[in-house]
Amino acid sequence: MDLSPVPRLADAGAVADPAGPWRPLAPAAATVRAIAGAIGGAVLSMPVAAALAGLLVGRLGVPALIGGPAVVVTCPIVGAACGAWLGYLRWRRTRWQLDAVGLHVRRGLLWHVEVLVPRSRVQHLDVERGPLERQFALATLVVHTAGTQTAALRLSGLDDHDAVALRDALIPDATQHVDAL
Amino acid sequence: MSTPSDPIVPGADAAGDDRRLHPLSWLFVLLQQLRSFAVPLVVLVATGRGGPALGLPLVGVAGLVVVSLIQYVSYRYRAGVDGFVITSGVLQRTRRDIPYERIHTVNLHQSLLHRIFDVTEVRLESAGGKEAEAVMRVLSMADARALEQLVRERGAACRDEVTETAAATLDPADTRLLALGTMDVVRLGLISNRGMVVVAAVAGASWQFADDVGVARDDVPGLARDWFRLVRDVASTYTHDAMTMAIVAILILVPALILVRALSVLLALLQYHGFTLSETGRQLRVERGLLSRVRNQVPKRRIQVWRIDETLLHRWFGRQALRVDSAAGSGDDEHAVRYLAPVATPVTVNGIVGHLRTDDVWPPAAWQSIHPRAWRRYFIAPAVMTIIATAILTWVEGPVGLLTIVVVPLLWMRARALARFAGYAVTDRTIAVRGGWWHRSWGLAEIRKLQTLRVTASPFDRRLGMATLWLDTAGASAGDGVLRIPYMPTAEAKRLYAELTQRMTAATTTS
Repeated sequence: MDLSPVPRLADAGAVADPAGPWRPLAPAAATVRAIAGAIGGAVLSMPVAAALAGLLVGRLGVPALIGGPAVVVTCPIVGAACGAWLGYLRWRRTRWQLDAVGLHVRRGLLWHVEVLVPRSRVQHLDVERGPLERQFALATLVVHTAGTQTAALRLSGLDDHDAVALRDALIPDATQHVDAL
Repeated sequence: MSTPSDPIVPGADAAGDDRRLHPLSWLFVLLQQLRSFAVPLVVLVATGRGGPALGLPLVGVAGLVVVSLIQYVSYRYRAGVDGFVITSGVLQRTRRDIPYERIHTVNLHQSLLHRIFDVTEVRLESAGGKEAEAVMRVLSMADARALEQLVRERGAACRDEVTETAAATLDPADTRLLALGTMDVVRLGLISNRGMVVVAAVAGASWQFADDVGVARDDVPGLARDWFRLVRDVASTYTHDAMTMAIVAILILVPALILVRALSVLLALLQYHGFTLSETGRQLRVERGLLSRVRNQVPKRRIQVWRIDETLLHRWFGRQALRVDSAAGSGDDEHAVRYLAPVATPVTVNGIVGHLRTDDVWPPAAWQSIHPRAWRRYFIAPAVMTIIATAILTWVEGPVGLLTIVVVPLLWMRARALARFAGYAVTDRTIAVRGGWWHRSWGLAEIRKLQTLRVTASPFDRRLGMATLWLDTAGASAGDGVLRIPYMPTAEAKRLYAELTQRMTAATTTS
């Protein structure tokens, strides 16, 4: 078997280890995931807070001046804490690996998913950096294929250098032009 | 400049060989443009609401005629050495170069009017793009065939200059793989549910334009309403008689069903009359249509997935349907080959697949079954839902609600049937997946055409030691979804995942 992509792995520096173990996301990404999770959790807790406030004040007769603020303060805090915890767990669960075959990604807390994008199937690549990610020198790698379901694989929470190195290592080889289509 | 009846010679005289479209092109361009204004125009004329303002649309039409004429005069194409050169536009001149090797298919479309003048609309399609590379509206039939021939020869020559020069330039013979007779097409109409599409479209359109035509909205389904009222009156007289109710229900349903099926047959005849599938070298060609003839092609190597469908009705008629997902051309049915065999006996369908995929045995000798307890996964979720629904119904409606529980044994039978039929088969080059219960389907893909692999396991899966393998391919429609092998034993899923991982990449480097 001709593993012609292998020599290019060297260019990718430390990222590319042909028999490499599964690599975690960047440590800083844990913070970003937790912050994002906290924001999401707080927003999602708003309707719960409204319902709870209605129940306490309306039905159970708790004075509005006590019940209202108590709920409005507590609910988002609990929601944010849950969201942050989930975000952290997701971060810990996500693993990736680049080998001679392609990019492997494993993730999912309850619904486990493992995806493989072979090198030869990569159509084009994006590196995205959101405002929060820029603060922590992180980046999101988006790998596009010609497929339908996994037409784009997003891997967020990579160290910026890793993301760029991964992108360079995965750039389709123009001389091979076997798109399998 | 050459007249349209001269033979097309590629690149002979690069400077002076500009060609025009058929002299009647302007007429078809005009009709194309008018189509978007047709409905308002008809409504204006029909209702007489236009009155003195009727002159305005006529001025518009006259303007469009001029535009169409200018478009005809300014549009030139040339068959160069490496590809077509198309120039168009008056104020803003556009020049487009389309290399022969980029053109994957040449699709011809002939409406009734096209056929009267012996001309055709030509679409040059490349891979992937949603839009055609070029639409030539219109060419004479002779020119179109010459152009098709040219693309086939030059394209093959460009692609395989190094490997197979002699074989590619040979004019390949046309092999007919399937021709449908009128009875087959009638069968197709009876099996398919196209009639419902018409019913929905007519209902929608009548609702939309009811006001424009000066009819009150409530009166549109007047006939249907009268009929319904009569039925209701009859029914209310004998409300306690279940027999009468049943008869009344049948009186409504049977004519409706017959009407819809009749519409289906009519539509099938319009679209699929004279359907032929033939093989020309590397291309598969489909021709079909009663009034407007469609002539589409797909290169065999662009086929991503082969799909066979067998609904309950198919089975009653002893037929199946064969479709392909392809990466060439636009996704819609009108401009791409979708059905290789819209209706054919299983023997014929298997024969076509076997013939076109000569390196494989089709159908596979043996199917690997999924996890022995997979039926539980098919059964439990719907059964629990049914039981909850039964509980709610019983609570609301009384003991009658308990009747819903009879669905549960049916669900059990369904689950057993689904689990029994689901399976997969891996050969040297392909992977095949089958599944379904009353609607059975088969999918066949080349391993080197797979794009990505994915294994998923939900908590329920893991409790029973199962995993689902997803095989992503290009060109799959949203309705079909991606090929997948559900509820495999985890160890087997992992083994197959690893094996396919190796072979997907190994196959590409050698091909």
